[in-house]
Amino acid sequence: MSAFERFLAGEDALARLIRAQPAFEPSADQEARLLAAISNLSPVASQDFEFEPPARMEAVFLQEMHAAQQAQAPRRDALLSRLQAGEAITELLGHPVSGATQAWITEQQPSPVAVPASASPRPRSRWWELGGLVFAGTMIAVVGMQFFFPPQPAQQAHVAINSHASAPQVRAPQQLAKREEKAVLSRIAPPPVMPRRAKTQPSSLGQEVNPPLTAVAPTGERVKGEENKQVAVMDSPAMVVQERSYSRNAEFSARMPQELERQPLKAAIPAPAPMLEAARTTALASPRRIVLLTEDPAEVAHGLSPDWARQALIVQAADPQSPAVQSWVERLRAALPPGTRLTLQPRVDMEPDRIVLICP
Amino acid sequence: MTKPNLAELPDEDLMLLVAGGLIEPPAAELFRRHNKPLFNYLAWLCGGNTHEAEDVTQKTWLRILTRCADYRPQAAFRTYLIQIARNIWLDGRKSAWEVGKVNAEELPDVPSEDLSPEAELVLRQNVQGVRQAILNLPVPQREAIVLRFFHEMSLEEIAATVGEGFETVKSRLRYAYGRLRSELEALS
Repeated sequence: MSAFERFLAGEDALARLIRAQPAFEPSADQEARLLAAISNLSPVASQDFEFEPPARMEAVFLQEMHAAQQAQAPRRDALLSRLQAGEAITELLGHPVSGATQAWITEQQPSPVAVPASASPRPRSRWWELGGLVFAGTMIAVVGMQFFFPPQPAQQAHVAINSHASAPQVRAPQQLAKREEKAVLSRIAPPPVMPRRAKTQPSSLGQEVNPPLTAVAPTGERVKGEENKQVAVMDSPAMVVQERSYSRNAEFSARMPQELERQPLKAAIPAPAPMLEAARTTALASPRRIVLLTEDPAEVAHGLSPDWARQALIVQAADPQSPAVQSWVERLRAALPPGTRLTLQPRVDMEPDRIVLICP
Repeated sequence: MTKPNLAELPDEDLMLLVAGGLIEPPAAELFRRHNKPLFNYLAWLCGGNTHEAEDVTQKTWLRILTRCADYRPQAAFRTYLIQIARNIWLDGRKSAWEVGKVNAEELPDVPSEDLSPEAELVLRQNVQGVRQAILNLPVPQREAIVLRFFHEMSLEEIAATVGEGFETVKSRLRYAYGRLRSELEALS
């Protein structure tokens, strides 16, 4: 055997020297933070690596993982309900899995018998403790799916936001439901062209958190040369927030396994009207605005209602460290009442030119 | 019956659960198992630039979450993960990668004898010198070394991971071997 062959086999001196490279061990504090962040997990056996990841990576990952967990609620619920109905795990997941995996997923199923509220509390998994969040996420995700699956041009219904309407109205819920089901069943694979935000105007909090929704019936022919433009005008930031949800959900849904795509829609998707109402309720619960970096921070601050501006605001951006974002936030801070606290957070699913303002 | 433990589940099953919408515990388990190796691979690939490695590592995990339905358990999850990571890295480094490519037809001459025990002993005292010699390798060769000796991948696994032929991977390792021997013998 030549020296090179021994090297390839890891048996020569050079291979030993390479493998002897010392590891940069993470600090005990870093390890503890990691394990605290990922609860209920035991430390993994130490491996010798030259480079160790910093602890802050976990925070970002956990945040995104939680968002994905909520966005995937329809798929998860459908999978669990079909599992409860007796379908084989192999069929549902599309591939054989180990016995341990089958046991684990079986344990995730909700109990078929409802437990009275007065019964002694039984320890539940984290999934169901977050039931409320998951439900809200489901509602947003499902509404998003309606917009993700674009209709045929002749059937297209444009959704417009009328910020002056007094109450949410859905003029054609049956059309929306049919459109959605037809689109899912025909497995439209390409990602959608999302409604373009044609205009964003600063508005008060009252308008932001009470977005009256009006689904307008098909408008007929489009203006020539405007084929690629959606006529939807979203003056309501709450609707813009929904747009982000659609985008995230679209990315997941576009890659949905075939088996799950064929599942009955009724199992996962409630009727449209309650969905819109639920999405509106969610928006009410989480007042937020999405603004463009090109917007004047002073105007944005001026447009915030006094109640909102006095509180601690969370500012999310794709890259909070970028000079453009930092500069924008500083200008916003200067325009807000003294003492307003701003917390800058990364949000990697954002377009780089946008910023989310959240009033927690 | 004992409670099923996520730690007992194979990577591929965990990823199938993530693809099925059961995200949080399985994804956290995958992250716990693979984040360090992934980060280490990328840090070597980035020439020791841990900031760039961190950026690519985060993007990789996010892509795992958002593209989970793409996953088909035909290859090991580790292979799938590293493929995603190197594609993200390559997106920003295409030209640097091209420069480092080698022609598999032109194999270099390499020493036929092993390093002497004396040289090995000296080099064991010069850890930084060995490390720098590895970092000085062209990226494709360095990647092959990292996957072979830090991730214990076979040549076939490396070929599948980097999307190249077996012979190409072997020639990269041959180049790397020749270059490392040359640099390290000068050090010793």
